[in-house]
Amino acid sequence: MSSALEIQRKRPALEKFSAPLVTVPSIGISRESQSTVQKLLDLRMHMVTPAYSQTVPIGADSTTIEERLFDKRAALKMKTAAVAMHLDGEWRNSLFRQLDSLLDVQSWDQSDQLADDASFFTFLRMIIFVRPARRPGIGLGYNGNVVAAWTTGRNRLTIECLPRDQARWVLARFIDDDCERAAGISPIHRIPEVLAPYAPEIWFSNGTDKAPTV
Amino acid sequence: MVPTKLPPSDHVVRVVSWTRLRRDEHDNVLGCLWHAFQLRPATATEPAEDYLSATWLEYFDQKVGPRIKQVVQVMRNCALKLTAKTGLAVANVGKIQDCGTQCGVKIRVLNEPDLPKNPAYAAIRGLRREDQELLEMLAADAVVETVMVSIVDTLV
Repeated sequence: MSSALEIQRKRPALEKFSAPLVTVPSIGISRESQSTVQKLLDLRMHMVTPAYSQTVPIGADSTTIEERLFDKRAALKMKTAAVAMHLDGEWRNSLFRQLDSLLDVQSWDQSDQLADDASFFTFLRMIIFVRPARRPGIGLGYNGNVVAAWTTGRNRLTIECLPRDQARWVLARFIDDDCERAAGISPIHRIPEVLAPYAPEIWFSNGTDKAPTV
Repeated sequence: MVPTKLPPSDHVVRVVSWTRLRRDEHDNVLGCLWHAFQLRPATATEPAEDYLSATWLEYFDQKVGPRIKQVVQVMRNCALKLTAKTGLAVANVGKIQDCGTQCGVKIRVLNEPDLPKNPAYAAIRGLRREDQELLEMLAADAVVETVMVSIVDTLV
């Protein structure tokens, strides 16, 4: 007999606020199609492991901040392109535009730190795993950690992507005019579970529910 | 000069870089991330911050012109690099302190004149480095307005 206090270990269904990553085909599909589906699922799981992380070095000859920003934008886009098969084209293109804006020399402050590669990898894996239909705004912390922010009215969700698939999340959620605040550090595969009590569809749904992943 | 407490009804202005502004997916500015109120960690050339810098808005006489424009001028006089995409977070002193009280932290907002360039210099003291909930409250509740430098520069 299972205890009422038993913690649910398996990952929750994500269909609540995003479209399915891989449409489960009918039982009548061929073995080849079944194999393809399994490969996609396996690759998705692979993406949520730190093994995918590889530091992309900035050009050794980069000396000016303009050059360093250019190299960083290129490096992050290359890393995104490497997982392009998991990202909807529109999502990918919009992400590229956001990176161009974030790492723009005209708006760069001397106190800013270049986006950390390991943090960006966590960000990509988080997006691919959580699959929010709505894109976040993107910022940077002092140490170069990528910060994803969703805002709907007074409801705010901020997720700072740490290296090694960890995420520092902070939220303010208004339910019946009462504000609930919470914060924590969780592995990205736990993000759906820790956010579930706060009805995260208020942030992640965009009306069309078009997920970032194909 | 002896630091003086600012009245709860007054405001302080904090510079927020583009990377720490809260934006939506289309890059529209919505306010500040909590990181805008984060104490800067130590770097290779500078020690860690133990208070936040700001500028006292009501120090300036609005008969001279828009106060926020005078704030920007003083900041530039202090060699702060302000780009068109730099944000200015205008935070209410009383709300800053209320946020601290709710989180069990006593926050002091003091005028600490940095003469001769910035007599309106203000320090926000008492923050704890890793209190993200408090910093998020400051960004969401204490900031009453976020203005872009590009807009301030058009004011007459």
